[in-house]
Amino acid sequence: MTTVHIVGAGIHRFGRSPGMSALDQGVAACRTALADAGIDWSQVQFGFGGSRDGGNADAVMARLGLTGVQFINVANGCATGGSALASAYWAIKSGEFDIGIVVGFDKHAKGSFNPDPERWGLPMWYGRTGLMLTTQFFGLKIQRYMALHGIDTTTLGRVAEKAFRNGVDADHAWRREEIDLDTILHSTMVSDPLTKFMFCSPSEGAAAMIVMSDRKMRELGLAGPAIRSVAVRTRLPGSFEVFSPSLQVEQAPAPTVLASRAAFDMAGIGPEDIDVAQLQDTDCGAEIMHMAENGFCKDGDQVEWLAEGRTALGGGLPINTDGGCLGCGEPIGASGLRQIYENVQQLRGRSGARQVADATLAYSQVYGAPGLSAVVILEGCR
Amino acid sequence: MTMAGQPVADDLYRLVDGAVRLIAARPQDGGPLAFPFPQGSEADRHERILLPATGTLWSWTVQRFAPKAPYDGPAEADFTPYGVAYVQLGDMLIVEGRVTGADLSTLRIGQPMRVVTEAYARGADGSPIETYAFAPIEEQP
Repeated sequence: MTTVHIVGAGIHRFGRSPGMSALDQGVAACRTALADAGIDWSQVQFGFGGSRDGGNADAVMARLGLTGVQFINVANGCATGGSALASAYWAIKSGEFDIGIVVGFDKHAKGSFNPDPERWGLPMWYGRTGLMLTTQFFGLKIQRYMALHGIDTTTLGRVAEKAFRNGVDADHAWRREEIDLDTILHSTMVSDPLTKFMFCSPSEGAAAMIVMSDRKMRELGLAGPAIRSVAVRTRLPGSFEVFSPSLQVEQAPAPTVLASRAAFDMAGIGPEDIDVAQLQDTDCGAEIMHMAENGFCKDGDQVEWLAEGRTALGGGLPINTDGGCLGCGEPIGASGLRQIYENVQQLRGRSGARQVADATLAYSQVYGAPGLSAVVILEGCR
Repeated sequence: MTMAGQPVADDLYRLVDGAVRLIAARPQDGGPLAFPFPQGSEADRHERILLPATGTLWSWTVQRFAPKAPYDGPAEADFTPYGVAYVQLGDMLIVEGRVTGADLSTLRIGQPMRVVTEAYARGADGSPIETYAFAPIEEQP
């Protein structure tokens, strides 16, 4: 059976890049990924890509060369990058193709997103009355989770403290300076219980991957981590998702739980086997809940995990080793692929000061509105 | 709690014996209740169900900055933070809405809440625009 490998990974630094369009950044990431793989654009047989505010992803082709191959634009909210990689994985796995590119890029205006209710199948009044903000959802979800599972605000703050610490050593991160716990806890309250430094901000950036069948990889004498599994899952009735005017009283597992279980089953491994993880951390609460939703710890154990530094570099399971969304900001189209980029670098032993020793199995999870999750498990080639 | 303002949308709530009742939708072919009642072609496939006028606070947060459009409440200069909550109405449904008439620093999960209306914005002619909201029920000492 075909296995799918990532033989090249490129990124254009996240944050603010004045004078560069989102597309400029996307093209730069594609060129870096091609150079990293050591292949030419003319060898690429297909592409999947996405961007929310940066235009059509297939516009990269006009810059890289109009080779006539298929390119499909992907739009799956914050999970766009993970979904694009999933599509490329299936394209190669099916045996139709051997070499593909996946790209995501974005450039957002400052401040919170202001989604159009009707594009989400919601009535206008939901936006007019001031209920359609992702920041509110993050506050509402962690507020209840904290009450149910005994999480304190110090634990929330520790997530951000770790993110900014990790970002210092990541060249592609936006936030490159440490922020102490006290400053995080006492920064401006945005949506209770989450303060300013507990939220990621919309930003800019791009990432691209070259994916290849094992057969072609050997033929070309290349190497790269194998994709052990990919799973994308959507919400069930009763799960607590963003942009929900109402919820069922009977709660159901989150889409992340479904995607995580499917990915572990497909890979034939469990959470205890993972060496490094990138989890969606649009806010500190999201990382805390995703630690449990992905099966890494029990609900409530996060207090102990964070206090003991188990998810910090040097801990048992380093999480968001490049600073995550908190440290890099979130350009929607690129964010999920940044996670993959970071895992590829970790598995290839290229992460310098933030390298996780002997990382072999790497996990990434991205969550998107209106309630979907994409999980990718990579295995290093060492 | 008067119904003086112009509702922000039709079919959101009804005043019944002095109580504000939210209008939920039950699919005619079965399936879970939902709020709000759908508009347009989906409406024919649903039955209107009035939700209880009181419930308990399920989760809450505070909107502390002025949202961007399509929000049409008081902008930057006149903005005051407002609460946002999910309230469980009986055993029927958990509904999201604004919080009014509350000291936001005292909100706690599980406290009793009632459905009210709130003039959250003003129209071009200065007349109030109203939506449903949740207010704490004062507990007996």
